[in-house]
Amino acid sequence: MSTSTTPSPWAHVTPGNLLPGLATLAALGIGSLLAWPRLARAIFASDFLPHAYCYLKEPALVWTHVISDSTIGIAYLAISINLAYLVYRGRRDLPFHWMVLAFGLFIVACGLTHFVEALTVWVPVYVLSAILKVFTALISLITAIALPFTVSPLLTMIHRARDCEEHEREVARAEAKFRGLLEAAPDAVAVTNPEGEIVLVNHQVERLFGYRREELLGHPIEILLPQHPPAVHSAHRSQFFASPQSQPLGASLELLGVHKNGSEFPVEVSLSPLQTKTGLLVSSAIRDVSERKREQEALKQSEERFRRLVEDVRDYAIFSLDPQGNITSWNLGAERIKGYQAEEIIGRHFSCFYPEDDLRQGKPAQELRTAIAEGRVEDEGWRVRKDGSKFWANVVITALRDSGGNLKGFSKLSRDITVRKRIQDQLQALNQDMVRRNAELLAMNKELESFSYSVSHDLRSPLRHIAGFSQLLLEEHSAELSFEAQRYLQRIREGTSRMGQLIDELLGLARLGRQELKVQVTSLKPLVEEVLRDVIQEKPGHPIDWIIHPLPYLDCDPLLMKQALTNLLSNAVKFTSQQDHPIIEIGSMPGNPQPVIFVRDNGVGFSMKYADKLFGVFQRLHRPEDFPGTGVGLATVQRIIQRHGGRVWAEAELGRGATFYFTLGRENGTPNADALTSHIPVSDELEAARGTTAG
Amino acid sequence: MAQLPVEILLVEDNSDDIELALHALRRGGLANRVEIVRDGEQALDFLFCRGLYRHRSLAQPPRVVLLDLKLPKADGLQVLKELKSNPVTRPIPVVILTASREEQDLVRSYQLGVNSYIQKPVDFEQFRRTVKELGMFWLVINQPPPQAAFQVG
Repeated sequence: MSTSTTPSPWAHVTPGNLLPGLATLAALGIGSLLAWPRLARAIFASDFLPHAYCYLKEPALVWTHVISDSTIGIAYLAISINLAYLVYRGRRDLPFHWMVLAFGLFIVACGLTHFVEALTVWVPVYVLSAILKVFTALISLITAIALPFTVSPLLTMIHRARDCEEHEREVARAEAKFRGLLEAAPDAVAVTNPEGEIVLVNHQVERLFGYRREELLGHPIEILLPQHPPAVHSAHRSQFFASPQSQPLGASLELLGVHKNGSEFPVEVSLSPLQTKTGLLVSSAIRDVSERKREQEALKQSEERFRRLVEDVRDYAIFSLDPQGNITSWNLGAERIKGYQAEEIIGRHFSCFYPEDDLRQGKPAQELRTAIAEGRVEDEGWRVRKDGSKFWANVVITALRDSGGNLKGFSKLSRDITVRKRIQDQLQALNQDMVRRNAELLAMNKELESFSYSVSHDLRSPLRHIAGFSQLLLEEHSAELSFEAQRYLQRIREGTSRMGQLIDELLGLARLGRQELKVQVTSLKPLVEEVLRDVIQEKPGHPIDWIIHPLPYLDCDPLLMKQALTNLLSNAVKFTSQQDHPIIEIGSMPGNPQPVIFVRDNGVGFSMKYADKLFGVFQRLHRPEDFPGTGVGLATVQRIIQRHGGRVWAEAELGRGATFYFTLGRENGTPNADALTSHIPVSDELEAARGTTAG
Repeated sequence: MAQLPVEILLVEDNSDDIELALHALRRGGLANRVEIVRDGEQALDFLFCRGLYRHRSLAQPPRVVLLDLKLPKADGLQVLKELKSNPVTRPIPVVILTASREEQDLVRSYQLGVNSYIQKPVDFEQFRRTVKELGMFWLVINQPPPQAAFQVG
């Protein structure tokens, strides 16, 4: 290769300037012979002995020379004819054809020499032979001198030919690779020549457009991408050929593709030049963008829908701010809550919604800073409407950023939660009130506890002293006392004993309020039977007709339940004591949510007029002479049932018996008023007990 | 003054109660060797032989202490606690004799190691019977702790 760059002194010698010289030389020679016949006679003079004489006319030697020389001459002639034909046919592509011509001429000269040599065997034209030899020598000399100068270019040419072969193989490989790539490309690729004819397509083109490869090759690209809008395609193409820079897909054309079945679909086409041996081709990468178009359309529609939705929201003020805090959008809710119309507020700074105190403290700016730093900020506080009225708002400000993270503005969402705030405040006040009441109750309970403790200790002592000394008086000084005085002392003793009993029962009732409930599933039947045994034992010799119906299980404190049942059954026994045929019935009826238990007797009963007094502490509807008692029994029953969240009540008729009912748990899910105010009887007791102390 | 060792230490602040209790003890023939103290502090002085009672001997403890709960100065539970937490006095039988039967008092007393807890009945007849039986039990029926029980260490 490098040799080709070496300048050769023969570089200017070309067939173009050598052949005319040789032709001129030949013409001059022939011309001279015609012009001067003497010269011709001299040349063709045959005054000498023919060569055959030298061979002594030995036929074998003569014919050997003649045949050999003729054969050599014919062969030389044939070679030079071939060379001449080669030069004539391939002079364009044949390098150094003038050298070949020189060779041809040299061989022709040699051939002529041999013909003349054969001729001189019989015709002794030795002058002609000598001239021919001179001519041949000259030609040989020229060829021999020129040849070394062609060796180096020839070698270069040989190398180049080899390189050329390699290059062709490489090109073939590259082409194979290119076809592979072409087929592997996700896009449909069609290659066109400058005339717009398709010269190459990949499989994706077949798939996308529905044509077979052979249906496309040689056809105009317009059958795939028609000029729609007209001229765009070709115009673009010619423009492209004018300045063939590859265009990236991003900057590509959006055209319509046409399927073989006639359907049109949007495609994105990007053109790139392909420089080939046969000229500049254009590769068109065609991408079906119908899916993307559909998505874009869907996105646009959804954005539009969302925008309408936001606009129509009434309960939330939704608006947006630019990075400086100026309002850029305004929805119906914002109009409703804040009182401004979109056209009068857009462009204004959002700080106009803040009360003066907040403005002084720079709250609007502070909130934007927080939103920028943390992405969003939530706040509750007073905000100002257009008319100057205030409302309690829940506000969320969110910083809006583009994909590059640059602040684009803010979205602001406000709710008017004044009502909720008011309710919350009320609830809080109620709660505080309740906490206070609870503390009061606790203190009261504590007071009651220490009160009953001191009652327990101190109230009984003087009673004992009264009882003790009046007894001693009776025992040790009866002689000195009148019968009347002794009777009084006896009454004093009875009074103290009764008071002792009252104190004990009262303390028991107070203890009930403090005692912890130990609730468990309890079968009522064995409990009732146990109570019955105790009650019957207390009143032997009083035959009662007991009717015990099936009884349920209850969730209760069994000890307390036993006490309640004891009190109810003792009561029933007590108030039937004057009946001839006392009947006491215990049973249950379905109730909501829990069964109702009843205790029915056919005793003296009571007037329903006094039913509300029935369960009061120390309340009695009968004279102690008729029915003994302290008036704590039913109060105790009520306390026990109330502690279970239940209710106790009675139905009766004077002289026709009474029925006591109770049920545990709240009825019909409504709060039980009695249970809720259960602390009230406690204070009643307190009052009652205080009254006793004072008395 | 008494040469013979005290058998009952009655800790009671109320004079009426003292009189009634002594009356009941007398009736039971148990009032001979009764020592009366009027508050908790005095009770502790007596039992630990200090102050007014420094001449007493720890070796001659009362057979039983009848202890009221509501007392001036140190109250009954405090006296009980000191007695039962000291090995020297721990074996002395202590009976709480009080007006109350509040649960908290019962719990506390038994936790501190009381030997018996009796509520004074309001009825005098019952009271007298109770005191008599109490005296009989602790002075006659019950075996007192032997001397060795008071040896410390």
